[in-house]
Amino acid sequence: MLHEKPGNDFHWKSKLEELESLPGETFNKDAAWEKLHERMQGKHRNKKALWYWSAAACLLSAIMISWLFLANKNETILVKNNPVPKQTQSALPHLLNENKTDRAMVISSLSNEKKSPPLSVEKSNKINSVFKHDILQLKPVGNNEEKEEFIRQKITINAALPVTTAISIVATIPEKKKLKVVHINELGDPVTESPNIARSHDHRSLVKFINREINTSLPSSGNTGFNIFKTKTVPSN
Amino acid sequence: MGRKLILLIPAGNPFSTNCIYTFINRHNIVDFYMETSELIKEAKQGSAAAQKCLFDQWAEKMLLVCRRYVKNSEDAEELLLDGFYKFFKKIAAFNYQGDAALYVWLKRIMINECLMFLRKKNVFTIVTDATAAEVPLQEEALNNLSAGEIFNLIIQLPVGYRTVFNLHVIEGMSHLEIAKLLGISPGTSKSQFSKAKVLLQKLLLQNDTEYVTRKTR
Repeated sequence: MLHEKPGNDFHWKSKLEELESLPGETFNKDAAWEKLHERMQGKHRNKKALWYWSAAACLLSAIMISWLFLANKNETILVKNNPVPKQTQSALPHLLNENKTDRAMVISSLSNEKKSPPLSVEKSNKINSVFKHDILQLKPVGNNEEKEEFIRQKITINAALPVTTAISIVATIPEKKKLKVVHINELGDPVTESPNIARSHDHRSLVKFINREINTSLPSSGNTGFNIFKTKTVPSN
Repeated sequence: MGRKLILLIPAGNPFSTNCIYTFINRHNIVDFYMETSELIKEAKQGSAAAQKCLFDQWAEKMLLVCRRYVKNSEDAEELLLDGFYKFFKKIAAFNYQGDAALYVWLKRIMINECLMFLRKKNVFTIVTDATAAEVPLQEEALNNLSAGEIFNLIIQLPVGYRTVFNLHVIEGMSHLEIAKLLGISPGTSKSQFSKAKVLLQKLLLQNDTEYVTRKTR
């Protein structure tokens, strides 16, 4: 090393080397040693890395929370956009796919239904889910007039039942398994009493409604505008 | 409270450093002496007690070195720990030839750590005129300053000036060596050094009252 200007500088150097400790400052050797010992044993963690990880975790959690919140919001919007008549409409046409006149009747009946007082969206959805199940079990056998009558009955049930009762029924009655629908023709041998089949003799039908059997009968004249429901609490075997 | 006992352990002692250290802790002995060569030998074998002895022996001096380069005390402490960590990791390669050699070796490690730290902070992007005039320092004033006062003056300098001043005056490096080490031109190093001296003169004048009173005595 070249000493370009020795003398005064050397004096400074020797003076500084005399210095044993920091002027006016204390140094905790034991605490420093503890830190060093930990680092030498491999316990040391980079503070910066720790900060980065914690920041990344915070950011990720914030994104997750916002995403979950938005997802929930979208779900509620979907429910609200799902109108009541559309569901009824979607459930019905498979019953009446034989000719166009039947479809026209269904639409007209639906238009009548629209006039009924509006229900809250969520509650009506629940009701529809119940009725969808119910409608799928309906298998009317007979001519077009009978089918039309069945649909009318269904719609009137849907409109007439108060929301609270329907919900309470859903809440109280436990869900049971679907019963198999057995067609008489398939068996070959006619059965006197078939429990789960809607019958169409003498303008009567057996409707299974929320695990209750409803015996409906039409008056001979058919102009009264009222339907009579006879319900059985005990299921027939 | 520890008793003020000095335990003299001769070279080639039959006890391991761990054993001695346990004894020291048990009897609250605050100070003891052991040959540095023995400590180095034990530390090479991985004895934590010997390492602690070496750390206790040299930590404060090395902290002074770090503080001359890095003003912030926390940064200086962190650099001290980094330096000792490297020292203990590379101790197997060290051949003990006396305390002076150990001091030089340790000091070089600490200076390197400090320069690396300063380089990371990008403090050496200095734009200066290479034709700086030579500024003579007031020798009389400097002679009257104590070591602590000189230290305080140095740490008041800006980082660029301070680094060049330390490397040139205290470590005895040439401007060419400093230029290579810091990645600057030799002219810049010279310029920084002369500016550092100008600033030191100013700082000395600021402390003039103290200096005058000392001079009159």
